[in-house]
Amino acid sequence: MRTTLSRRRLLGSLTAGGFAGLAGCAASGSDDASFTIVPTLDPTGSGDSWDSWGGMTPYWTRVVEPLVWGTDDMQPEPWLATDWTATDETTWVFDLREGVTFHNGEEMTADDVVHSFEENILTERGDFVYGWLHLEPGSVTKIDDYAVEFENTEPFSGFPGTIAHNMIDIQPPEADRQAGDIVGTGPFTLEEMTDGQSLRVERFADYWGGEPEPAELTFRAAEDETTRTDLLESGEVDIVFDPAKSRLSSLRDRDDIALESRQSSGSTFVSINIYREPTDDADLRRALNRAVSQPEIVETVLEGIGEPARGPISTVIDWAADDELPAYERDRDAARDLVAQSSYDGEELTCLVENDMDDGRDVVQILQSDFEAIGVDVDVEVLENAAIQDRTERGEFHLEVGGSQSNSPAADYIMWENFHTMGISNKDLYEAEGTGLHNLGGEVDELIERGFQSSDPEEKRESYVDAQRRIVEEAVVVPLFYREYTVAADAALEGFDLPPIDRLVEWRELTGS
Amino acid sequence: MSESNGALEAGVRRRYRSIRDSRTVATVLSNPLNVAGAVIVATVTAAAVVGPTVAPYEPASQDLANRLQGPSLAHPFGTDQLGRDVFSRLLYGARLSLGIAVVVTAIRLVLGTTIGLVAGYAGGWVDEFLMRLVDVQLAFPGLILALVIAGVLGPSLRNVMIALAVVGWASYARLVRGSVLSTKEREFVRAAQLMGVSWPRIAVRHLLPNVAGPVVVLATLNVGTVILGTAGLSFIGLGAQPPTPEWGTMLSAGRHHLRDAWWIVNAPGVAIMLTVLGFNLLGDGLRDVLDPKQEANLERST
Amino acid sequence: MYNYLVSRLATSVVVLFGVSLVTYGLVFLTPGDPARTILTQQLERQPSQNEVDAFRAEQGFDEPIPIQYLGWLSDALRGDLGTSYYTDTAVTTLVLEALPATLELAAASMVVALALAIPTGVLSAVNRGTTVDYASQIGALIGVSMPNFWLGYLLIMVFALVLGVLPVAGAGSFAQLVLPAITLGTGMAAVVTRLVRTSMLEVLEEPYVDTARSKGLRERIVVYKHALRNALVPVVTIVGLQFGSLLNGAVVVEIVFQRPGLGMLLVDAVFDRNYPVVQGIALFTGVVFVATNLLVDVTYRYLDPRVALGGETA
Repeated sequence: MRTTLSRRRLLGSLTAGGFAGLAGCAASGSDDASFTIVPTLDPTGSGDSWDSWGGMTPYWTRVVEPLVWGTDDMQPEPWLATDWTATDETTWVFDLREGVTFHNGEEMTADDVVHSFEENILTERGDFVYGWLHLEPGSVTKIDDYAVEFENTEPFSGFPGTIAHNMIDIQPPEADRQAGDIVGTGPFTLEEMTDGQSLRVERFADYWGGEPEPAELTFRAAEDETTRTDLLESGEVDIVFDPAKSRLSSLRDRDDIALESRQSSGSTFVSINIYREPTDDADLRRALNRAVSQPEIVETVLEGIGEPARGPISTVIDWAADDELPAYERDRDAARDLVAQSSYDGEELTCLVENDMDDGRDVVQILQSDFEAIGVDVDVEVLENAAIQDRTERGEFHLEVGGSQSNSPAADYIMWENFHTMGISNKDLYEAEGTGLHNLGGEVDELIERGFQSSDPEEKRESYVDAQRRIVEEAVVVPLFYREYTVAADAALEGFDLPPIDRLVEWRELTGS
Repeated sequence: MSESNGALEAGVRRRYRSIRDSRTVATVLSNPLNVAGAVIVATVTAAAVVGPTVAPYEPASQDLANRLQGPSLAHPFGTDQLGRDVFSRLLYGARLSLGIAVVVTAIRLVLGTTIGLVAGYAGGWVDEFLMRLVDVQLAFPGLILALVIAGVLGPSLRNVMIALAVVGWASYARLVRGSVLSTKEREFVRAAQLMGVSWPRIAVRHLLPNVAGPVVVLATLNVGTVILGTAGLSFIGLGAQPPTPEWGTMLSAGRHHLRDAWWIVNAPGVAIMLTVLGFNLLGDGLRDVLDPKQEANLERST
Repeated sequence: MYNYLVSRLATSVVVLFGVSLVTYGLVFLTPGDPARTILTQQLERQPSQNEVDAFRAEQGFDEPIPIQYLGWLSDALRGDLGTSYYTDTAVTTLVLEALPATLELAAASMVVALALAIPTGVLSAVNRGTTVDYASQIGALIGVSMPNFWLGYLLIMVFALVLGVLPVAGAGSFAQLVLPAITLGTGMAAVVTRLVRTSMLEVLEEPYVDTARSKGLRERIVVYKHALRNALVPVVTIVGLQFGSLLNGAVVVEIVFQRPGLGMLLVDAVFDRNYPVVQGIALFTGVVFVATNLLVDVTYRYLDPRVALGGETA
């Protein structure tokens, strides 16, 4: 079995490519209401990403569920587990909710939880998961029918908030998941899936949280923002995530469409390769920071969707720093002086951006023009995911427009994977050449480790804020904006709220009027 | 080198003289489609030559305060999502887009003609081998092979040009070979051979001029095909990198604004359409003069 | 005839061999070590040397390239094109699953092309040299001169958003096929219009048309019943040969209209560096092309032994 967990999807960098669709049907008002929803990723995964769920995305569809959920302020919330306690530094005991029924009618017990973690998650998906969850095979044991013990490989206070993730779901051993037989505990059951086009779910009457309102939901594939917007405007679908920015003003003018935006757990920034000449020079990196106007970017190409950022972590995350960080405001003269005292002597910097990133082309061109205004030449390369990885893994770039996003309430891994020397981004180059990409090393590593392990929220925050301050002071990134996501829907729809993690939105109470 | 050019030129000139005095020219000019084609091609070529010097703005210069402005006196084709002047970008793009098409076509032509000449002249197993090579190239739908090649090489304008050049030479080879086969047994070629004239010289002096007409027609039609191919590859994500004002890239980047700022996408769209139309009309017109036997050419598709 | 068949078959086999070489060789255009590139993409991180070695052994990359090629070829001859790097699905399965959507699109586009081209071509021929003729020709050429995706988005705007009569995107229903078929069909209509016009002009010169005219039949009947029927024979045959070139346009049209067909599968595979899928589709289209050409040549030869058609398409 090959690993199908994608680091990029987990770290949640921006939306990916792939296409398809099917006509939707929208009834409303009655008991058999049916709605069509278009998320930002192909819900059928076009066959390459969601093998563990027979091709169905575990996000948005609400067929499968994890033990823990996330609240509106990014805290872990009891879900299939009702409570959890740390019995020592590395051990957790989770109490399971009683009376939870799988779609096959069986009750969920500790055996199902142990099976899901040991077989589906730890064994099948391989060692990447160990580092993410800090669990290894054999570390999940049943205490009784409604209690399970987890043994972390090291102290990990963020564990409950980390497993509050759609991909850490519970399924019974009987389910043949690879073949598309998905037996979850969620409010909807998977009924039908057409690869690359759509999938249909139906109401699960025995849902532990009460019978859901909608009788049926269809999730359609349209990873292109303009196509999503067209589908909503033509009335073929009821709800779309992230309509095209260029269409927002005309959508706002329509009475029959409601728009709502919410700050997400994502943040967009330029990450700088601090181990390659000439961006190894902090003066040059600070100059780049002083060349950019974040409010200008938000107000123009983003059409106001997003918050100008000072740091690399979205401020919905409780230990994110913003006010505490030094602000580099645009000052072209100061920036030119910094360039002059840096080692930069006119060479062209390479800036990568993924071709699927919404607004990526526009944002990168604004940056290119801003940098040119302070005398720094930038060569933009818009590349597909595979090529970007190829280049970043080898460190062959100076700048990358990207960012971070947490799909679970605990977001510790953003700091770890991006900025710790042993994080995914840096580890290989560090081990091969003693370098890395965005890791300052030394004290910053220690601060990240302390934040990671601390169970005291104050201490955690302090350590992480300190780490972020150093990252910004040393200009390892050019923060751009904290992301917002938008949902555009038929104005007659009610009964759904937008959590900071868009993948945790619920449809249980969705009604037509 | 200069000699071969001279020979080619002489051949073309001879042909030109022979048709200038005939009634064909009058017929061609009496067909308004041919005239339209010639006018369009001349206009686009002029834009490509003088465009950058007459363009009112720099193609990459942004003005975020004036983004998405509709057509006006200051900006005849409006401004794009970054406040750049669409008209100026089109003018700069003319040189680039037309340049790409001409260069790719020229590579196809030289490559294909050489292979066709060698195959037809040498005959035997060389001919057999080269013609199977032609068959192999023709066995792939052009854009699909180009997509794979450009995709594997990585997105850049250079790779797009390589990919499009590699997939389009076979028609020339087949055309030239056919013509060489029919002329090489003729007396004047025989005579030249007997006189000990070297074969490259025979090829250039005697064989090429006979096939110049159809080749020119094919090349003219090809320019349009290549422009469309570049646009298609740009749309797929394999084209020029920003902020290059290449037409296909402008068209595909502007498509998100079709509803709110139609000029951003439709200006390059119309430019591409007119240019391709112009080359198609001109190609059809030239065919009537230079290659009257040839019937509807099937090579025209994106 | 028998000799012709044998020699034609032999040529096709040689060409297919070349097609397979090209298909297989494409992968080696990748800059860098393919094993490492593929693994990096698959694992989404830098692979360890052990993983690279294991992968090389598993995929047979350790063998000399000719041996690898022969292994791949012998599998391919048995209908096994390998499995996708990302899912364990057989490439043959992926191709066969994507094929119907593309065939449906290609067939519908041909219908559109013929429906547009026959009346235009006839109109053009009957009114030769007049404004109607020129307008028809220009109209047909405009279709082929527009980049497909631009036309597609314009059609979506007009028919799905402004008029609201057809769906925006997707596959499965007849309504969802209409706009993609028009987008792809208009491109081909130009070529067919020209064919119809030329063919019609020739037929109208034939003596039997004059005879029909002199018998006093109405011009319209003459034109449509006698001339058109004869004019269409070569047209339809040549249109059949255009099938392959429709695949070119299908790539873009499938992306615009979110139709999961061969084109979309290919684009995804190219971007994901999913080489077995890329090779599989390239080989498949190549084989289909060669087979179609062979079939057409042989049929032509059979129907009219004097004709030796090149079967040239691009």
